[in-house]
Amino acid sequence: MSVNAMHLGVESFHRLVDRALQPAAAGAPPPTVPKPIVEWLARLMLLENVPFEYLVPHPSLLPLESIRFFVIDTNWLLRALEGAASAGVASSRDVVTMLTLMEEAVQQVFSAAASIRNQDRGLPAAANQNTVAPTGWSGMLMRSVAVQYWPGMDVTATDSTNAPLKPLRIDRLSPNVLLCLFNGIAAEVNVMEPPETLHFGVFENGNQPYVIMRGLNYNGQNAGITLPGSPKANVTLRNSSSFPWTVMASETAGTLSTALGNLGFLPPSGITSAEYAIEMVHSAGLQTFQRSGVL
Amino acid sequence: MSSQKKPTDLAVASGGSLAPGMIQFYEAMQPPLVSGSYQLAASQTIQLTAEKPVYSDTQPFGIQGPRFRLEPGMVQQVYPPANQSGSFNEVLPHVVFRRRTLPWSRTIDGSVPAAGTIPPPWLALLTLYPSDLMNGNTPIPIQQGTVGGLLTAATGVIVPQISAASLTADQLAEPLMYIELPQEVFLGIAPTLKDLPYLAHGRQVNTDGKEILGLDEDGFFSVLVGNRLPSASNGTANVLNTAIVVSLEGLQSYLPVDGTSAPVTPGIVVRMAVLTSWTFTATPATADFLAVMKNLSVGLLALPYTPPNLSDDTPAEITAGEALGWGYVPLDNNLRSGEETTSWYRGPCVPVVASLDPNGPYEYSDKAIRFDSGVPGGVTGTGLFDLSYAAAWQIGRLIALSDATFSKALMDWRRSLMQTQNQQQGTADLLERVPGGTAAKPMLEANGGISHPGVVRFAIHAALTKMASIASSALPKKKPHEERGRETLPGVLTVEEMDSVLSMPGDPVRNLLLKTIGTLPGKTQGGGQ
Repeated sequence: MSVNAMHLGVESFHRLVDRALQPAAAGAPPPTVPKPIVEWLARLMLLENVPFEYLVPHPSLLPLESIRFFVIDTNWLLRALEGAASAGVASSRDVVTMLTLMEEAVQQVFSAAASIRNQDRGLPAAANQNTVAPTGWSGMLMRSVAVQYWPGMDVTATDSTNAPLKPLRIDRLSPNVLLCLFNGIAAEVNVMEPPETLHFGVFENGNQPYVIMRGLNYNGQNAGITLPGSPKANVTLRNSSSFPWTVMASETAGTLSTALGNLGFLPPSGITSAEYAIEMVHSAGLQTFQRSGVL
Repeated sequence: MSSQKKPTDLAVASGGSLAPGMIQFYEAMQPPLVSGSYQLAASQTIQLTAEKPVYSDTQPFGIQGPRFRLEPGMVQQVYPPANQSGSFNEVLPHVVFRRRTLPWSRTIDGSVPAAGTIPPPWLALLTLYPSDLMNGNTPIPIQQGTVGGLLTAATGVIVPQISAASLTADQLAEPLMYIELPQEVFLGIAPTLKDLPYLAHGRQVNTDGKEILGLDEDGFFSVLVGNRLPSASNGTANVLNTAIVVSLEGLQSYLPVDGTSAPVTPGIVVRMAVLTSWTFTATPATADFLAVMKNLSVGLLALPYTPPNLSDDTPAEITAGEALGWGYVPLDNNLRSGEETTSWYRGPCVPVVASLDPNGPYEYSDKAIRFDSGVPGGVTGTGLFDLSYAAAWQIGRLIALSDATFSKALMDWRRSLMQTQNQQQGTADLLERVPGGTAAKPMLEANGGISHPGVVRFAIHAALTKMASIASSALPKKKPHEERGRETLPGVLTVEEMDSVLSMPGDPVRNLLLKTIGTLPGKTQGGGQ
């Protein structure tokens, strides 16, 4: 064997291998699942487009005026995912392709599901939002007139360690059914009246409207902060059957003045329109629901 | 809530700087001078001479402000939102003006307020129910008119006591909107003179960092609060309420007075300028938000059932109780064979944590059907199917098929995957066949650059190198093209050769073939044909 020829051969071998390793012009598609497909499947995982009867197969599960906690059965989601991925499967080779890809796709789909809500709200994806809680997902279904009459209710959830849970989906399925999904196991759900608009108003107890009094920056009570014990003061209405529900502002201011005075929280300047406004602002109601029963 | 903040708290600032998200309330924001006509008088007394003459002069001027109508854009926000429907029956309507001094920019009686006093606002926000806007069977419209028309007295009409003589012809011709409410309605719902001061306040907000309270500007606003709760008590129907902002200037003596019942003459109407108006629909709510919330039944998503009592329940009852507790629902099921049975189903929302099914994924739904056959020779099974996951598989497929875009994207992707697979398989096959190819395969795969031309090049070179390693001298030598003569090309004959072929006896074609093949170098060297 000629040393010279061998040397030449090795050299050109490397050159040829280098050329062979150049990236191909028409590259093969990467084996990751395309984004539109991942996103569509992620929405399926958030139960979008799933008929209500498949979620709540019997009306007694979710009667009128009820709130029901649940956890998400990942098996059910995986089966639905497999069903969706099998659309158009025509041969046994298709089946094999579908099954081998499932493992690849599942992780991507569940990660994408965690960012769908931000995406729909036009918000940038947060850094840590794609983490799927190891405990799985949970949620809450509410069927109530409240869903209909207070659109835009704020729903927040915390788990058993009081850590806030990221909402995956908050959606009205019908005029009076609200579905919320959370990334984690919800132990407590807070439902707040839509707080967007500060407005004036009263609470009603039968036909007697009242307000819950707030401090007026006097006697250690900061302005706007609900007084200890949430004391109530009645709002005086004009006594007229033909023209009901007319508030007598000066009488009400007098009632507030007396009530605050009795509690020792009436500033010396008395009740002016500014104090009247602070007392008459209708605060957003907040109700906390605790999950009953052990999951 | 984990924080100490109560839901009824309100972020109010009091004095000092206004932090973002805070709001400060003011009793009033008065202009230095209210709108009206003024006279500037100056007088100077000269003290130098014994006569001490006095020189004086006057200069009339006026301060104009919104009076009978508002410029567009003056209203920052109304609540309840215009043309919206919602549970507004516990809400006092309000309107936010951009001009902070608007409610105090004039006085209700045209007088100039004494220094240090805050006059009642000249504007009021009235909430009208549908019945209030009916005069008998005639609906009361908000009409278009002119200032002059508003102030012109008529029989049975109370008009604002503003002297038309104090206005110019141009001012009198200005358009406005007005309403003629029956005096009974006006006395029933209008605020008293004592109420008015409480129904307007100033507000300062800091909107740094976030949108707050729907007021998208920093700074000061004035707010007019209504004095009547909207009507929603009309059975189950929605009620259309109308909110109007009216000018009470010149109407102070017609306002209701608490404790007295002013004599109402039927048919008398009160004419008022309407500065802005909007409508909203109050939907009937059974109670307020918190009452509705407290009324909700809380539980887990499962059919109501009595927990199994192990002492006296039958095994069937215990099984059924357990299944219901796990969120299962018994549903009628028509089997393929025509039988009718009851099968279990539960959706994705379950009241208990389910362990992961180790047998997935499934390529068709029947594989996901579970059947309780019991343990042979042990526990008797219920013979019931659990169709939950099979149904999940089917609905997933149906939803996918119902979305043409998705199913097409899915199939396109699968097809492109298969093309890739085919290509890879082809490459692998080629590498198998070419000597040395299989050895290089891992290296090529590790670099991820498998492509047909490259592989072919590599394979050919590998083959050549293999030969070179045997003996470099054994490699076939190639003559460069330019060194090769025309005569050396196979089958090309010179003119002389052609002539000799043609002159040879026998079949010319055979002679030509013999001549041609006979000149081949391979034939002369190898000697075999």
